Amino acid sequence: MVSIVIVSHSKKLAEGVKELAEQMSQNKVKIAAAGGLDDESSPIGTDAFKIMEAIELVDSEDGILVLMDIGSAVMNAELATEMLPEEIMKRVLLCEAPLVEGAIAAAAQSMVGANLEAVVKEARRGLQGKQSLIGPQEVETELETPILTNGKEISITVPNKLGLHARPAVRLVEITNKFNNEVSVSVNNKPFVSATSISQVGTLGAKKGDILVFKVKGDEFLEFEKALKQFEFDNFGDTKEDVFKKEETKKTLKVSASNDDCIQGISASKGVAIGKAKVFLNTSISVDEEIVENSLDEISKFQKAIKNIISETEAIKEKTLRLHGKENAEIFNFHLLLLNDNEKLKEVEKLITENHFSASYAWFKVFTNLEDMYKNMSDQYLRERASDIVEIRNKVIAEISGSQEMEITLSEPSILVVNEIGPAQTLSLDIDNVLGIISQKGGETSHATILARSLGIPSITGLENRIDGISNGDIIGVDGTNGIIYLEKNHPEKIKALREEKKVEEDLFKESLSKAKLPALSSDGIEFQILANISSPKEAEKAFANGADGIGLYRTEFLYMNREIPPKEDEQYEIYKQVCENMQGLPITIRTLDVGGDKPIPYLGIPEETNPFLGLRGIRYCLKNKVIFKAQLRALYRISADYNIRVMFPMVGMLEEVIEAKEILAEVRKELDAEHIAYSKEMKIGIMVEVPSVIFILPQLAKHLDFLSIGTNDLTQYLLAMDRESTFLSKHYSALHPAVLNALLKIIATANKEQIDVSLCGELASNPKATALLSALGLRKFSVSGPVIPRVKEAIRVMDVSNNNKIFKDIIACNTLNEVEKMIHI
Amino acid sequence: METIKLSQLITWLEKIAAYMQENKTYLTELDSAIGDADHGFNMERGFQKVIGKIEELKQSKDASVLLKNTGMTLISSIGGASGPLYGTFFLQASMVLKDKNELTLEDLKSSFENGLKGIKSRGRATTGEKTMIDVLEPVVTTLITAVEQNLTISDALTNMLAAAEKGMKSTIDMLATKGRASYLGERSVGHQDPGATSSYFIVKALKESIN
Repeated sequence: MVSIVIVSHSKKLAEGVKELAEQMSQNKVKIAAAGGLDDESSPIGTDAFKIMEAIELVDSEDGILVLMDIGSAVMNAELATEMLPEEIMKRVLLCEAPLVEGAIAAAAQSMVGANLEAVVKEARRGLQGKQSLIGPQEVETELETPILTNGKEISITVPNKLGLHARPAVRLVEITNKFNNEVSVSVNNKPFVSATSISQVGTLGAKKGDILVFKVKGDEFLEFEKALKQFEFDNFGDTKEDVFKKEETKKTLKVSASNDDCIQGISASKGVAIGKAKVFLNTSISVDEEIVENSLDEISKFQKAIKNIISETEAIKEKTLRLHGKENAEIFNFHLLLLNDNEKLKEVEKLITENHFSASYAWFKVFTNLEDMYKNMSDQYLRERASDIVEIRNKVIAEISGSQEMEITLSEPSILVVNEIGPAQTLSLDIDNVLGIISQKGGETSHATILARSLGIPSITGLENRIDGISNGDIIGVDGTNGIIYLEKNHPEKIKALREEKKVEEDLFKESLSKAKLPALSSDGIEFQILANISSPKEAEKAFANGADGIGLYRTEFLYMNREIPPKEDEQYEIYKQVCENMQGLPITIRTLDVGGDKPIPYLGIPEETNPFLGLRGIRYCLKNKVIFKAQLRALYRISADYNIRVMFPMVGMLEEVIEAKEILAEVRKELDAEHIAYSKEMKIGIMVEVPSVIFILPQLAKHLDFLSIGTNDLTQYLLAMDRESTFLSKHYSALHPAVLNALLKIIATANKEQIDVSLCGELASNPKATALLSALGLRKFSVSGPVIPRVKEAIRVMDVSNNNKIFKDIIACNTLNEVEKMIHI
Repeated sequence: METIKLSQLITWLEKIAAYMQENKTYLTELDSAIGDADHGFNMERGFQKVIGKIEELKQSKDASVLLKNTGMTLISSIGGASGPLYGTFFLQASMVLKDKNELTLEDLKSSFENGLKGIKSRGRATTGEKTMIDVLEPVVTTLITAVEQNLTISDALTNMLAAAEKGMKSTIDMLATKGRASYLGERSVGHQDPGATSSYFIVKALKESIN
């Protein structure tokens, strides 16, 4: 067996490494440590004689591997070897592998009887495990990965109408990354590009009917091929609706010859707006070439900026998902892939190290080239991705230079006039003050436009210099539906007509709102409560305006995001108070901090877990971090003195958690008593029902709780063991699955039996098509997203609860998701 | 013919030890600027060990044994990189002095030449890298010239010392690419190399013990 000698300046280190390696090899391998000096006053150093003795001690015919730390250790090991008798010397091998990792890897290899050559090879690969976990990016950036041009071939045909646009490109890169292969891709005999680079895949410009050719090298060829075929079969993830939307907007593309009467653009989002123009035209950013000698500093500045913008974008995505749904949130997947695109990052870092460009300039250069590439694409949809590139480019530049990205602030309701606007910027607007958006650049499929549409903001784009005549403060009218802009000074009569049209629109809206404020009574007079899901005081205000009967879920985690330290008790108190004020006395259910490894809040110190959704989430985190938990509970109790609130714990899976949380509540009450701070002893306590185990212990839990709120999103994910983000599983991931519906039935029935209040706050409740179904299952309390309250109330008004028995039987008879969907016409 | 006696070599070692003791702080200060601040301690400890064995060394049957034992002592006691480096220098120097009880200038040259070769291969370094080689290489060159020009030992030593001092000072402006100082990169410029400085003391001690 090959033996091992560990040489280090430190005796302790050498002994410690020896110990680790011995443990690894179950003491089967002879290992000797030669560390430090025999000089008590100065024990750090290496001694060639000690090394020589160590080698002689473990001398083995199969060879002796010597691993050492740095400097004199290397020289003394050499010296020691030279001093050995020749027959021993020739079987000694000094190895440059890292000391700890090398020793452990070598011991493991030697133990199985490998020869010296194999043991050395293994020692040299000792760092691989760690590298695969945490880097090193720097090393990789130096190695230019050549584009694979041979390997096994797979071809698929682009099936969807829009071709390989941003969303399918993102999915394609995701699919490629899932498997352990090296993959390149090409279309129409263009040069092959890396299939893991979004910038390269996105710019292939593959259109419907084009054949994508992949070259694949790796172990998971078959799996990858299968996934690709599925992707092709699934129409690249595009639904028929996408195609329809595009066609619908295309019809409005007719740009009539611009005449003096008005300014004609492309209708991006319909509706009418009249108001003052607010012009922000100088949004194009340019960075001059700048040479910086200290490239290392620039690289670290650059990497930090990318990291920050990634977490910012993730937060925006999260927020969009919550407020505007999955489709809109997916826009930011494209941004995230751009920010994570290794090919581009490498290109920038290369410019910094080799050309000594400043980080800003290098990034600007690379992304401006990319912008040009997109702008010159023949496909209109891809061309319109340019504004995403620009937004990401500018954000990173602002982050590197520490300057603020040009912020668009509106102090009064206005019509925004811009060169171009990105999706994140659109989302950051104070929606209440944005009457309309007019942009020079952009198209009907640009992401900002898609968002404007979903926000209901009239918008016209593709105007180029036709809007040069509009100045700040001009009163203008926007006819979003026809893509026409009128200036009051030129066409007062048109503005008057638009105002009238607007008034009719507003009256209709008001009417539906005032109806929304009325209670939700079914046609046979059963009352339902329709509550709102919110995350901020502002959303509470809107929910109230939309006719919410209260708040069924106030998510507090957003209070904790995008900051350096947790919010203090007083700050929380003030915000909760605003929410309560905005709801004017209606009941409010506040959910305590629901975080986990999937939401990036660095200061919370949540460890990286292999399975964050099954890890330290929600109440599990809070019970382990009592300081943070208690600050929130104190704020909540203080609120309870003056307002009608209920406190809800997320992610509860067992009774123990409820008991422990209630003990902490008791501690908080005791503290408040001692400080003579007022609170309500009657404050209701409940939990989210989202961990399936809860279903089986409801009677036990009910004894300790005042209410339950079913979170169908997570419940579905946990019950079906399906990641809700997985594109492969999306076909079956649905809260309407019979398995989930049966779970709901059991939860609601048990809650009624135990006489504990139950509501449902998942997305399922927001779907008016599912309203009757949920009513049939016995649910009377829905918590939905603010804007759909009027529609859900309408659905209840036309519903006859006495029909429930029939619906119930029909549901119970459904065996598959497909049958359920058919039954409720989805 | 003019020669260097064994007793003069003993004096040389004693003088080196004295210099190292006297300049312990100085060397350590130099090392703290660009290294790990142990050079002064290490050199002092190494040569004190040599002094501890001086009676034994005095019994050496020839210059080869004397320098070999010196080298071995340094290897086992210095601890830092200068242990194997100076150890190798004395060991290699001893190789060419077998059975010699007195050294001619030619012998001195070959022993220094061989010693330098040893250091260079051990440290895989050459001139201009801010190391002891920047002192020892010009010293050996001077010795070679002295032998060619048939100089007296005394003149040769004078030239050697001048070359050593010049070499030592030349390290100030150099960028370290070897050893601990190389981690500092550009920041190593502007500091005199401690290893070059200790080499200078070794040469200075030799000159003073012969004259």
